[in-house]
Amino acid sequence: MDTSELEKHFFGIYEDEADALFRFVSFRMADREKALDIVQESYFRLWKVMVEKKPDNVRAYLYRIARNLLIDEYRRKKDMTSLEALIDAGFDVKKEEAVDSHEKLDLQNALIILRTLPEKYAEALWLRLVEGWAVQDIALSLEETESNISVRIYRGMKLLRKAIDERQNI
Amino acid sequence: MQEQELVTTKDEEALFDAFRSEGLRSEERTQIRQSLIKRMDRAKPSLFHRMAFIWPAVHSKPAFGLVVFGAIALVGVGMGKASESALPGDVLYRAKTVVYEPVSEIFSQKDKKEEVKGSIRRRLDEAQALAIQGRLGLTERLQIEGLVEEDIQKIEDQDRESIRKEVVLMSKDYRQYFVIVLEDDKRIHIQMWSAPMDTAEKEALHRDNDSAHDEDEDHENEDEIEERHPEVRKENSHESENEEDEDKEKQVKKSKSGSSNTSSSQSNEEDEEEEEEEEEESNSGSGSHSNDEDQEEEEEEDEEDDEEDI
Repeated sequence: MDTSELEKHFFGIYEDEADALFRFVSFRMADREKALDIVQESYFRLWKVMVEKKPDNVRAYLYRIARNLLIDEYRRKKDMTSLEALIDAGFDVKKEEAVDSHEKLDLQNALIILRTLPEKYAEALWLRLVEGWAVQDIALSLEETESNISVRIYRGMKLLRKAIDERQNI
Repeated sequence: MQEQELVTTKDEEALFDAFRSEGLRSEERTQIRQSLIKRMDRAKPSLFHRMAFIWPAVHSKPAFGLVVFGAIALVGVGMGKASESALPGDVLYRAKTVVYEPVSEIFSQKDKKEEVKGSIRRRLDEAQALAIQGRLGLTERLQIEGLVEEDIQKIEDQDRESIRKEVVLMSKDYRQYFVIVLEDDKRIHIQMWSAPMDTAEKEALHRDNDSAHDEDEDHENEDEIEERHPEVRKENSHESENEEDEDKEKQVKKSKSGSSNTSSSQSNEEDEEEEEEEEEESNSGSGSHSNDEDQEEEEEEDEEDDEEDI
């Protein structure tokens, strides 16, 4: 593939996936600026890989890069996002867009609940339910078997519902 | 199992939709894009990376690699041989002067200066061949002249370089020599002031000391001789007394000459005659203490007479 064509293809992927990738990163990273940095770095690393050899599943590869960068960041700073930090940093979800008059669940609370879930469940759940990925893609991205991912989604959903119920009862 | 998971309530769906509404702001999106373009420009693949597809092929199939290498070598050698007889104005002449000759110079065992001389000879042969063929135009002449000048420049550079190397070597030699001399000097100083003396040095020192002692001993011997032989001492003392008397007489003469200015010319003449007589007496015989006293008395009387005359 010619360089200009490769660039065109690359920026097509960027336009398609930038928002979703940012959501995926920022739901695990309290600091918005750092989340933006990780998004940028993920795309740049993807570009370097694409120059030499195009990966089979570009989207799964991109998320794998982002996930590894997140893990590196956690290891470096040991800055797992606390509930307060998440709220302070502001996960910029506009309440008026998300919550209608009939909605019982507060969006920010839901996000906090999602963050309190074990990492492996929250990741799988997010990609399946929020981003709408196929189980196969999630398995490829998280480097797990499809059956494992299915189990994680099921258990994660159960935990989420339980947590939401508890929260509403309070 | 997956079907069961996907069943979500209306509230849950609304929640996930709310999550999905979150994303990059337009300015953030543009900023990331621009940064990526900059970084991508900087990390553009080099020629080596662009040719990288060759290496896996060569690596996986050594026979293919050998064939490629052989083909390249054959083409290179063929081009070199073909350009060997090329003349200025030919297509391969440039390849001959820029590639073939410099490469053959590198692998040559000859002296560099000889190589350059050979190159100049080849240029002259080329000019001759062109002249014979009737192709020696202004362009060809200028081309050959330029190449010859380059070769001459090379020779001059080599000469300059060889002279420079010689000078460097000489300066190194001098420096080493200077260091050796300094070290020797230092070693000698250390030996002189701290290390025990050699036997030869001790002997030399003894010799110096002996010569100094000899002079002292001479003086001592003289004293001993005088003690043993008092006559010798007397003679010596007489000699010394005579010397003292002479000095006194000279002083007296001086004083008399000062006083004679005031006395009459006759008395001066008489005085002078008397003094001469006295001097003759003192010179003729050995002087004694009593004579000196008499002379002094006479002198005093003369002086009194002079005063009375005045």
